[in-house]
Amino acid sequence: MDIEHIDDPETGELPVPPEPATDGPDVKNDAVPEPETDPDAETPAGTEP
Amino acid sequence: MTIERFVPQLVRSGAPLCTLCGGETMNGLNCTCAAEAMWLYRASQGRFVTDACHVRDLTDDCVDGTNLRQMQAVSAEYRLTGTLYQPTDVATIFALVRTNRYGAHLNISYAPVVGTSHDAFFGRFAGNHDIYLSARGASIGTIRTGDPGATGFRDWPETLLAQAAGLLDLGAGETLNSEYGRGKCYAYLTPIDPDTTWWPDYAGIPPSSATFAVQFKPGTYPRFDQYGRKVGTFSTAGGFTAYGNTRKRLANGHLLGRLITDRPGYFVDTATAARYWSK
Repeated sequence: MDIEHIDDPETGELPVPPEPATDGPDVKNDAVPEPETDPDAETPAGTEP
Repeated sequence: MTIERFVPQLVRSGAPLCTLCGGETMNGLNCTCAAEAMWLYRASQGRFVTDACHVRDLTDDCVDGTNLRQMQAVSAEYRLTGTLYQPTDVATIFALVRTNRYGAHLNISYAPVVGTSHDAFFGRFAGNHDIYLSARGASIGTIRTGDPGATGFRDWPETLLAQAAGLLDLGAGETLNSEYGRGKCYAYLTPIDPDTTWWPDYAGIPPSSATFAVQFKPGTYPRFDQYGRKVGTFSTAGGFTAYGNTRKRLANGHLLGRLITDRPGYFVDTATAARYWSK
């Protein structure tokens, strides 16, 4: 039977975070748009597309 | 239970208009700040409730977006310490978040998200973005994710998250994949949740080795051996709650767990329990 171990079967221990790594360059997020409406939304009844 | 609060960045999603820096509207630039507000809520166990605009204000940065190192400084203003990874293995971050004891910022490129059901910008954005990972998703291979451009948490496939993380644009024509190899990510992990967040409050303090708890209502349930083979059944007339300390994934995706308080030594299918708590 295919079994994937989630915890250590002997100790029941959980995964532990590794040491920090900060050598990489800092990266800023880009600006996202704020659309007024969802272009894929259905046209409200009684209005022209 | 995971402590989480979704924080949007866009006005159309419910965020307040963010006017800073001499009158500039910053909402579109504030995904990392919105994710930080979610991060702060988790790391403080619900004590710190803030929004993207306030986080942005704390950075004193009026130029373009923000980065994870700036969020580390914001966390420090709240006397909270996380762990910054630039980079680490994305599989490591997923494994930690799947324990439901950590949240994390995840820097991504939105390019692979465009055209999927997870695209919050309807095809109008494909740049660098920041999202918040809250917990394991409802189905295997997914992570409960807060995209600040959306309106709430959704389960994202780990495969999509990993692909988007690897394509993060580092500038100068480099991505994480090209610079460090595939399977890497930029992430900022919360401190581990205290045990109290997952105790079933009526079941008492768990043994130190406990990693999960289950509640069985009155009934008859299958019992297994340590390899996941069914060996019989057990019955409970009044129902019970028990802690356990070893879990293994069965072929059907369910988690096999060994009980250590009530019915010690029993291996049960945790999916047959009425309730399930996990560290």
